[in-house]
Amino acid sequence: MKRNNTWAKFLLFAVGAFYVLPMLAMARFSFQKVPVIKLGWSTLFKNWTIEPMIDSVTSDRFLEAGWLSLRLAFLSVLLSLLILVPTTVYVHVRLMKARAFVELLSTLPFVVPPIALVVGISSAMRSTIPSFLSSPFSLVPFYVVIALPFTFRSLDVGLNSIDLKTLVEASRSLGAGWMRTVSSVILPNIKAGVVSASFLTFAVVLGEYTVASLLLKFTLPAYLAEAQGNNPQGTFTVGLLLIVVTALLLGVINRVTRSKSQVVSNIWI
Amino acid sequence: MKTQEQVLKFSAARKSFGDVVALAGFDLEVAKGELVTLLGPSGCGKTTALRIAAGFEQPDSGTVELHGVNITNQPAHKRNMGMVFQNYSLFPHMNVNENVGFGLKVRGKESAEREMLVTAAIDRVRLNGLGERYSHQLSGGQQQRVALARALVFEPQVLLLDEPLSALDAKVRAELRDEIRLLQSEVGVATIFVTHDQDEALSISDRICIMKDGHVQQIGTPRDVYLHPANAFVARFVGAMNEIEINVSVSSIASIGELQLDLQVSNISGPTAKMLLRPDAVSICLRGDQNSLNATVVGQHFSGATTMVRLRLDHNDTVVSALLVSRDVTVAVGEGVGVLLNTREAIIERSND
Repeated sequence: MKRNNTWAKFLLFAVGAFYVLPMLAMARFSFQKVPVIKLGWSTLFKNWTIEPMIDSVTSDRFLEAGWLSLRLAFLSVLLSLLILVPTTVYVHVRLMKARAFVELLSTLPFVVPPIALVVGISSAMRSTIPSFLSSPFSLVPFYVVIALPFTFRSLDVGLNSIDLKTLVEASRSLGAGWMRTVSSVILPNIKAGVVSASFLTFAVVLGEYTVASLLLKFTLPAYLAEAQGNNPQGTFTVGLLLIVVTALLLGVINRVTRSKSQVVSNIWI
Repeated sequence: MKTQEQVLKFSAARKSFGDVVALAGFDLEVAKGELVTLLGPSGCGKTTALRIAAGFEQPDSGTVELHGVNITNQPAHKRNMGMVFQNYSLFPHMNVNENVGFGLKVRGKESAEREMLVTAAIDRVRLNGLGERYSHQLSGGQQQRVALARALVFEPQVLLLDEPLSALDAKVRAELRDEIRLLQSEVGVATIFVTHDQDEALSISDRICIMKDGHVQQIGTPRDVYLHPANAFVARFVGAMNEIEINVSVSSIASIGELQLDLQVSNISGPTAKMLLRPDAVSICLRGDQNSLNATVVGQHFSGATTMVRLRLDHNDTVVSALLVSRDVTVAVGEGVGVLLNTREAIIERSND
């Protein structure tokens, strides 16, 4: 037992180091005004500064990109939930036979590279609704699709962990229509799944570069790519910031899914 | 019951799932205050009938009427029927009070009135003081009580019980069974109770509807069904049955070995047939008594007031059971006795071969 424990600790440490060391290096590079060639033990405590970060986050380009990304993230979460909550509930209540098929569909974004998605959709849209691609919000449907594997799975697991059929029938027998059943009975019981679907979508949107750059939309990742040339330190601070925010979001998911009324639905985390 | 107001009425309701006929022309009327049990083995259509009443399934043809109004196509949430499920169905994110109050909230009742009705309903199922608990803090029996309170609090026109006791252990099951019956008669609501447990059906029902393969076999009071089963299936399904092979002569005279039976078997042609007889229609006498068969006692099963005695008939080795009042049992295993068959309630079935 003891040996296993030591091994487990060692592994945890190794994995932790794998993630943390590059971030520490990144932090030194971003927050220290020392030429890269001189970054070593002797300069460990010299010239720490948050100037590049301030420069970065106060620049108009960052604010523009950040504001767009936030709105895109919010809209993508909303659209994802609007489409997927009714769909997954319907599949679970009425069409359980089709569940495997829907699951397969939801994993397609893993298989289809984003570039194929963009080329396909943009050529289809250019000949039908050309104005669609000119708005930056045309990214929202792309993001909904790219986040699909995560959103579907989160909701699916949530629905699997409750006795959905009985709960739905109990609710309906008590006089609640479908809207009421979904909002008062189903959603509160798959809260954990909904929250994690939302945060995962959020994280996908904040990190997605390919589609945005191919469609020439100026989102946060696009800003990072652009600013790398003139303020490399600043872009790294933003990168770090994104990592920290995402980690915090994951922490929040963990907390929510472990709240005590959700005993049933946190099995997956 | 006949004079009372009819609440729920099925007329020729049919339902198939693919090739499987779940319900083949189902007719049933349930009166106000009456408790009708749908009894049968799994797959007999009893649950389908209940789900059609609840609005969770649509019949392929036929109708369901509530107080004379055709509700066949009415959605489940508009039917005003309370239902208790086999699986625990309490909403896990709501406490007992909120669960019981859900139906009232949906109906737009003010919170003061709701609170009053909820408290009364919880008192009624003897769970006072547990209103703040969540379902995972309640035992199975308590959960079903809450489900019952929740189904009755909005004064439904029909109460539907889908094997509500089958997940509970024997003692709680018997207790809750009696409670359900008491509560149901107090409230006076028309009730359909689905079960596959014949004891439950016999003890709780005003009438029992016995089903098999989607067909109704018999509808009658528990007494009727037990004492005068309409056919061999009902006879076998409700209560214990002895099966004894008999001979039928060309002139329709039935006999077991040398003993001629006092029995009309006009519709049986074969040389042999099967006689179904309740254990309480079998009694023990001295060997050689008039009209008795010789048998040997092979076992006794004592259960308080009554004892089930197992007897092997000497002439063909058939083992039959006799249900006797314990005080009258004076035989021992291995003893030779005479057996008297009260064939008045016997059911004769054609032999398979």
